[in-house]
Amino acid sequence: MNSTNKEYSIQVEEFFLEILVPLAKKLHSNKTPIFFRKKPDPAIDTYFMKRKKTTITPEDFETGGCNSPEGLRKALVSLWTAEGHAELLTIADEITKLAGSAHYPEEQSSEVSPFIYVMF
Amino acid sequence: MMTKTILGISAFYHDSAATIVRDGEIIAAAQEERFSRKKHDPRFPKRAINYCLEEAFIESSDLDAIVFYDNPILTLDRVVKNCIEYDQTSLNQFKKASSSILGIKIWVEQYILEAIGSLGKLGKVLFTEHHMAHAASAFYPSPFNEATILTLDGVGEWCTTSVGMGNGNKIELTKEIAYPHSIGLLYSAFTYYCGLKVNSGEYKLMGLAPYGTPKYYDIIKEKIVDIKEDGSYCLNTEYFGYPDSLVMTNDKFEKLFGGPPRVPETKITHKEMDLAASIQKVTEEIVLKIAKNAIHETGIRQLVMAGGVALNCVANGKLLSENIVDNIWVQPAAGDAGGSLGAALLASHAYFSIPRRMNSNGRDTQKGSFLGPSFKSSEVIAFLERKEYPYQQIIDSDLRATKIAQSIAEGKIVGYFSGRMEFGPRALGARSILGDPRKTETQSIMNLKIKFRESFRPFAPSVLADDVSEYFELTAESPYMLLVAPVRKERCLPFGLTEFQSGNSDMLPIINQPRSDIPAVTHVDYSARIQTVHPDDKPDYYKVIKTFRQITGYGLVVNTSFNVRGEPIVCTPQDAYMCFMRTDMDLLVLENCLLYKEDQPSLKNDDDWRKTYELD
Repeated sequence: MNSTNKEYSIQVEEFFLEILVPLAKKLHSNKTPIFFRKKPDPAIDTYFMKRKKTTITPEDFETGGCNSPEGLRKALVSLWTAEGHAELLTIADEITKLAGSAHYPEEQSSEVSPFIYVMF
Repeated sequence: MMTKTILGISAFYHDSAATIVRDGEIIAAAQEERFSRKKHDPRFPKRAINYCLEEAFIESSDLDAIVFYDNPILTLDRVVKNCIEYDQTSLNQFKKASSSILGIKIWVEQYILEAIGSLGKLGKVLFTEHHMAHAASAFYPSPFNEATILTLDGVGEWCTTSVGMGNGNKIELTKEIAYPHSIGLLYSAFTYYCGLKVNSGEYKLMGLAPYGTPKYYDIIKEKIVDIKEDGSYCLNTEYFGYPDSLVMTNDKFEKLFGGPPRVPETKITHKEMDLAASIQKVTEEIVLKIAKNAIHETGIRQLVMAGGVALNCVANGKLLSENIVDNIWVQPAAGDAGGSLGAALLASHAYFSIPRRMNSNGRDTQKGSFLGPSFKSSEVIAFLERKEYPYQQIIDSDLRATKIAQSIAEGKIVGYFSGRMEFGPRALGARSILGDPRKTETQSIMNLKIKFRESFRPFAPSVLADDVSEYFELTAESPYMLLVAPVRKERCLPFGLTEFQSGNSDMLPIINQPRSDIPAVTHVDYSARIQTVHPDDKPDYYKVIKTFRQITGYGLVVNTSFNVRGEPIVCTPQDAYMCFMRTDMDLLVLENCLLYKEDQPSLKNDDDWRKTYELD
């Protein structure tokens, strides 16, 4: 790990422990789970959810990316505002800062990226 | 209407790829791994993009649009919300995930600009949604004007399973199941627990399943996954590691199944076989129920599928054999690579409103999935001459087919390199290794001396499309090796399983027993993973099999991908020659040139080649 990566790692850990975990605790004190079901519920008939958007429009093609940290901040604020997750707006700035620090080009000559895992 | 040329890109998860579509016609598509020689290469597909641009004879600045196959902002949203949901326990995962998503994935536009020097005529990148791209890759190239759509994979942004329908130019996805509930991740968890690699070992687990009995089926359904009548499902995440750690399963999962995961490369025991059989049964139940429910809702009995789970050809075969669908079409590049194709087609039809192209002969528009690079005979000869490799050029295609078919009939193993490379994980006769299906020992020879892979893994037959029902309980076409069906009963032979069932887990004695008159392609449950070969898709390959039939009376050959374990399928004549020389193959066909092993000089300074490829 080079010095830039070390610095970033410290920054991420600070963000996680000082901002994300306290926010999580606050949110869990009101409702748990917060965003998704974690185990089966025998009482319901279906786990399917109706999609909010069933088709893709030309406008939808233009909303997925960002080309600057500020663009990222705006995209997150827009998404979380539309979803009614006002509590998340407080972390948009911090995530934007992290993105500014993490931003690095992937080297084509290097070994296969460690980020191969499907989830991330 | 002006011509519209669109580049689709999938990258940064697994199996990066690029596709170029012009006015709705697929011009070129390729996975980055074929060029970089790193299996499942997730890196930005610079080489694949350059190939697609060359094939389309255009510069990047001529592109009408560049489309990325998913929405990185929504993926970031999932990563953040997941960590809040699991708070303290997910620090290590968050560190890794944030580096990946914030360091790489959200900056797609910059990668493209740096890689190809332009963002095309729009001056910006378009983004789709992961499962919309899968749905588009399944529906638009299919032969159906209307179809029920089903997408199933690990996860894309939030969605893991989606259901909808396609009609003409329009795709509508009506309902979905979202992370952390995922049939793909469930299958991957068992893949991991059985000591196989996530994202590549799932196919092996499916091949292992017929050796086992589904002893764990009840416990999986009781403790791990609840399946409703409509096929929707919910996982009990307490048993999984993936929500808050870097591995798929956790202590609770291990306790449930009696111990830690199998150590990779150690002996496979009955426990792994039984786990494989159990999770396969659960998967089939989910897929069949969802499909049944979706078809009931849409009223359309033609089904199209994509997403990694759609590569589960055993489940696909049952959709047909259990009469749940009338017709099925599965995108051959069903995994993330196919997302590049779906993204480009989706932009063609939903952004530029280009009318959908249908094939007037009623077949699909995937072009046999032969969408990658090809090499002219003159290029092959230039390569062989430069390297001074002895070869025989046989221009007459009938004579060439005869020589190849004769070699196969004599029990020789043939490396077959011909035409445009396949797009997707299966070799379909352009980059294939061929053998005689009648010989019992073909399976173990090809596994152990050619592919250097696990002995239990079955091989697939390539059968003349017209002859398929002569050998198998199948009447439909299966051009992409995505349907499993039984070998016809009258061809099957009884074989001894007593010793195996009484506890001896050595699979070789079973493999080496004849199970039918085409033993090399008959799995231990008398099934076969079938590729039907149509003369319109691949005339040269069709001719080889037809000639083999004239010689032997059998209209099918063994077909496996042209590579060794851990190696991507060969792309160039050089890749093919090296693979040929490093294995026990007898004959190499490079376009119209034939190379016999005994004529070739031995490779020098190549003893360490196996270190080149990490075992998958």
